[in-house]
Amino acid sequence: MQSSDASAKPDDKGPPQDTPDRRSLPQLARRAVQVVMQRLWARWSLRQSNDLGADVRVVGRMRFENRGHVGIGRKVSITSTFLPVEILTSRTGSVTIGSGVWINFGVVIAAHSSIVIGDRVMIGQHCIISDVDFPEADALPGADPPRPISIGAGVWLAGRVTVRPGVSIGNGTVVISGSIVDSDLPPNTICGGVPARPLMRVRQAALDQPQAG
Amino acid sequence: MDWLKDVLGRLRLGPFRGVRNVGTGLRCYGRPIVGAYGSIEVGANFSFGSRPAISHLVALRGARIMIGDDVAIAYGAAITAMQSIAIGDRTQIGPFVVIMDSDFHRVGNRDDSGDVTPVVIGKNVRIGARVTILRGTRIGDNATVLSGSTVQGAVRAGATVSGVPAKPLRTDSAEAGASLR
Repeated sequence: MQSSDASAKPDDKGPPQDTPDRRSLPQLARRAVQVVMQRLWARWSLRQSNDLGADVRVVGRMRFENRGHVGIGRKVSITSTFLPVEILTSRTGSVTIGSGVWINFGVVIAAHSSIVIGDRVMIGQHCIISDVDFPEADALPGADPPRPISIGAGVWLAGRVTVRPGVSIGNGTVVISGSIVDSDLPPNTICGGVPARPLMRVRQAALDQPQAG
Repeated sequence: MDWLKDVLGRLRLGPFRGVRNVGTGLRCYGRPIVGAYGSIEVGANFSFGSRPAISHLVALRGARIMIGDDVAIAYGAAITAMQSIAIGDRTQIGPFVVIMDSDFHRVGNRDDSGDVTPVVIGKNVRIGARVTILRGTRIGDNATVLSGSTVQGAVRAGATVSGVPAKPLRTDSAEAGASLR
């Protein structure tokens, strides 16, 4: 909340001002230790990865099984608390995760061909991103061949989204909760449903929101 | 570790202990809950996912679950039989699938378990993620149920169905139309 906004509209009090983040020194110290531990835990949890960027954090136990290739960018945050996050690759599989990606609990990413996740992607809880029907590192005899998945930069997958094999999602697109993405989605669009379809442009959606302040 | 899994599968230790007929090559990923209060028969090379979310496979007293050869069921499955659930050979089932042959309750009387009708899933069927299969469903061989669908009634062999309730896709509705009630 900028103070200039408040002076421009003196009649409108607006929502209460955000209180500045005043944490005591012990609190800050505890937080710093927490962050360091999460980074160390990420180093350990993701030790099988081929590339691992700086400042990657993992909270909770996750399952990471890499038989192919996994590259993880900088400032990736994996929250694996209530249900483990799983990242699995077969010998032929590769997972590439960009920088600033957030992954919430219960997400399964399983690659037998290739899965590319762009920068600043947010993946909500219980999402399934698998290029095969049976999301495990073992290949099943008689399974359909894997089809690569690509998710563009800045995409937001909300909770319980299923991304089907062979799909690519454009940059900046938002996929609403519970959607099944079975076909390619355009960039900068809010998409949703079973199967997911484009619903509205992202910029249009932002304009329709009531302006804060 | 594969040989160890095979040995454990043959010894019928682990989740499938107490199950009478389990084929060779059983693979459990994680620890599913298997409740053989009735009878459960499992063919060869059954893959059963159970992580990160636990699956359960329960045949209640007097009920029967028959699973063919080379079947795969991914994690988070909820399969409960009061009478009979049959899954054919080479069928593959995605994560978070619910299969039940009863409604568990009757409308207006929650203590009555209601009508029970068997579920039959054919051979080489593909069932996507988060599909719900309700009682009385009969899915023909080589059919495909797309992710997120809820199925009740008959699905013709070779058809592709989708939606809530699942209907044949427009592309093959000419041959598969009116296959669903």
